[in-house]
Amino acid sequence: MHAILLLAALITFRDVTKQARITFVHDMGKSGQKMMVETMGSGGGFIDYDGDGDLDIYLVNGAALPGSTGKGALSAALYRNDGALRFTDVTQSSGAANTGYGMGICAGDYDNDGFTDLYVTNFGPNVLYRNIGGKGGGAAFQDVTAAAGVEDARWGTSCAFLDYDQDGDLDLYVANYVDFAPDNNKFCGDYARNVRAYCHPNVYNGQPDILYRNNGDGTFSDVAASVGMGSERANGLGVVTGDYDDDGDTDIYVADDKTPNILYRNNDDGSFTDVTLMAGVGFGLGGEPLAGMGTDFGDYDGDGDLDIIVTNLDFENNSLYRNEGGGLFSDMSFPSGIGAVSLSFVGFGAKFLDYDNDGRLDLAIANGHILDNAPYFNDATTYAQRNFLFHGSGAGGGGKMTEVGPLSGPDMMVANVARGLAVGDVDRDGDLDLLFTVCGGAPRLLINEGGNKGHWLGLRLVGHPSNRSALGAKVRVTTPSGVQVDEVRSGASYLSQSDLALHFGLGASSAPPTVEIRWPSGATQTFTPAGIDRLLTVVEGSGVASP
Amino acid sequence: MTRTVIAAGLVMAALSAMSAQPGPSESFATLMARGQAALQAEDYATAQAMLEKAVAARPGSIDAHYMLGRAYGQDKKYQFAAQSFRAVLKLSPGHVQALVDLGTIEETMGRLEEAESRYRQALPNPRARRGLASLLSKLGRQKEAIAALREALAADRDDAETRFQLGMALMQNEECAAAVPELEEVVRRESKHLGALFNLGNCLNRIGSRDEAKGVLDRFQQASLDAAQRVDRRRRAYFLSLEADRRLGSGDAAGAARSLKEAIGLQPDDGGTHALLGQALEAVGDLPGALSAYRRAAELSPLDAMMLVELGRLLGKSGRFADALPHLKKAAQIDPAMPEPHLFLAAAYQQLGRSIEASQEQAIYRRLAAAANNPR
Repeated sequence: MHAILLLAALITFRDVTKQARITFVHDMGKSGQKMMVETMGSGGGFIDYDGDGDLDIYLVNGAALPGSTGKGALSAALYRNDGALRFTDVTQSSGAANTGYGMGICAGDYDNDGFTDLYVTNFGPNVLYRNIGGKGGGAAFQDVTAAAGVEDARWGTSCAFLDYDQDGDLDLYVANYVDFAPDNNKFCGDYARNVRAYCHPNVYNGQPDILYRNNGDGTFSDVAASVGMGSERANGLGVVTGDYDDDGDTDIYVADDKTPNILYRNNDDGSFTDVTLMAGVGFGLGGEPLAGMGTDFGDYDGDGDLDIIVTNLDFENNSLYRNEGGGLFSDMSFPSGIGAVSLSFVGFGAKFLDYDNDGRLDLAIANGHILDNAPYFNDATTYAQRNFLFHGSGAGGGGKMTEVGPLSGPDMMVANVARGLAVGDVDRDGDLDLLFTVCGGAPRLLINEGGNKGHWLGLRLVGHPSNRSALGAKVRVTTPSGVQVDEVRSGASYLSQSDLALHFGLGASSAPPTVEIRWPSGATQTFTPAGIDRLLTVVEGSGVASP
Repeated sequence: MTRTVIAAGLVMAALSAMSAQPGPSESFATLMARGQAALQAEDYATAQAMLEKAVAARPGSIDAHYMLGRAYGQDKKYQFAAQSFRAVLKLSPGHVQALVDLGTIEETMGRLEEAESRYRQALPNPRARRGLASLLSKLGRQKEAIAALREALAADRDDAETRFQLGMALMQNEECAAAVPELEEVVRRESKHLGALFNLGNCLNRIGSRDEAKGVLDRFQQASLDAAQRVDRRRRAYFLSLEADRRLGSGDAAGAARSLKEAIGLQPDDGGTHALLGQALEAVGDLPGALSAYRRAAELSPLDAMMLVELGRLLGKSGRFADALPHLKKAAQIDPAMPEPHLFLAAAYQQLGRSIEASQEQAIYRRLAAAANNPR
């Protein structure tokens, strides 16, 4: 264990945001009236919008709220990756400059045309940007929201594309938060001393989420009510998709803020069943709903099934639900080691990743308080907080996780008000980098230095007849030290999009692993790659090629 | 909030009734009494101010430092609280309550090793044992937690909270079969204990008793919904009270009364809301309605001296001076350092022709009012 941690300590994360020429600064559009939307965003992430094989960065921004004294129009930003850690701001020419009060993003090729599309959630009407590949020298993206019928105007938060009905095109899940509006902004905080604070979400009413079914003709229909998920009025913030029961279809887990989290089991007939209660994943250990923010699926204990992480408020613990099989989960937050350290932090983004390529899943978490005047209400806490990096011990270590942020370089210890967290190998050097978005500040692109000492294999999947983004494809990678499982998924974490390509650490083993892919279509494909330490493109039913 | 409004009204009433003369400095005992009363009433700012003065007056007082620590701790001013508890321990190194409270604060601030050390120093105190066990469980040291909880339970078999924690620790140690009877016992004692119901259901599920699990989890869900609805009603009532307070401030007493009646419909058992309704009704001239509201407020908050003062004052205003006396006397008993009961007692006695008692009460009022204005 100690030896592993010593090795982990040789890996550091370095903030290269400025060097990469990313100048974006998130603006909360502050009203001066503590409108709760100000403190909840915004997200962003990695998307290869131009199909050149490297990861570009999309960053969501706020907008002026009533009472704001901001400098002018705000918009999201798109940075094109030019290689060598240099990015160019292409927002204006991209056609994707969302000017609403932005919250989150998710990516997927909903029209199966080979270009990754983008959905941006807003506090207000959401936007679907169809990637048209810059045809004719024009913009990369076209706003097709109205034509597609996906402009829901409630407070959208996290979203995820998925092919829930396995018809080969991508559907879309959108979490909605509460019915706050500037004209129903309530006074919360210390009334006697007239000190305002952002409100508890239950001061307002939770909103139903949306499941848009892709009609296959460029339009979508909200089918949430008809598929068994319409009755919930929850405070949705985080969404993750995955096949937790390994029955070949995509299930949905929603992290809700102070209303119970929800696990929807896909019945494989176009409908869902809310199985939260029996699964044991809706509440904290005290039987009360926690402040669910971000969430992710990952096999942290290396037993072949998907476990769940949910980030929560301070004085609550982040929740780690271990999949026991048979539809049951156990709350392993404290035995795993992630619970105690999280008690003084407010968690948002959360992503499982293997940052040191040792074949065992680790975990990164974005932290930052909700209240910009937090110490007034509780002097044990701070507004800006450092992020977490947990080193996982996998099956051999009983699933124990150790927080190694302090061992991972000074930039991992910088206090920030982080919200989104996305993961991807942005410099294509064989290890996973981190992108934190910051509320009211500049994002932080942290480059992994040293993680590529272990071997690795990257897989970019292209589906056909499965959805072209291969969302929902399950991959098992078998090495001499065990089996790793992951799925291609859109969204997850909090308001964020990570690289759609999968990344497996192979440790010291230089022998190519066996790769088994179960495509959303049901087809399976097994192969042994000719080599490792590379990113392979795998086309369903076809060959394997390096990009 | 309600308290602030009422207090403001009282001060105005007091000023109009009588001009207070400065008196001698108040005693340490009075400062402590006022601090404790404010703490009980969750008026942390006043509690802290009084107790800071008490500490300044008598720096060697363990009680003053300890109460001040409590006042800061309950107000989530943890760093100040820790400072006060450390002062207690400097004066009295074995002070068990200070050790436990400091342990809790260290734990809250994320200083888990220090917390463990404080709890251990306070053993075998039951709070310390529970705090230690809970901490060990959070640190993933379930076996040690289980041992500590079993010891605590041996000392007090009826302690449901300790038993619940034991059930949780067993469950997290993957001993669901052993956790089930502990959690069942908690549910037997507290049928709506959310944590026990939830974890019992999960444990039954894990040991294969799925039907039983479903029954328990259905009960949990209902209890959870009930709890959420209660909280929701309380929250809505709170915001209606805020709205009423604003309306009262802007002179719309009738609107305030409407909001308050709605708030009371949502949460009938909050004395403060009834008192605020009394104030609003008085402002619109509905004295019988105001009296009825204050009576209900005093019934619901029988130890709240301010409610009794308001009731007494309003009875006086209605000419029912004899009826006012017992309420005002009771208020003076509950909070001996509060000047206002004596002001209105003086007025009531005066009206009843009992001038000697009126003079006595007036003298007490002057002394207490001066002390309140200049406590040291």
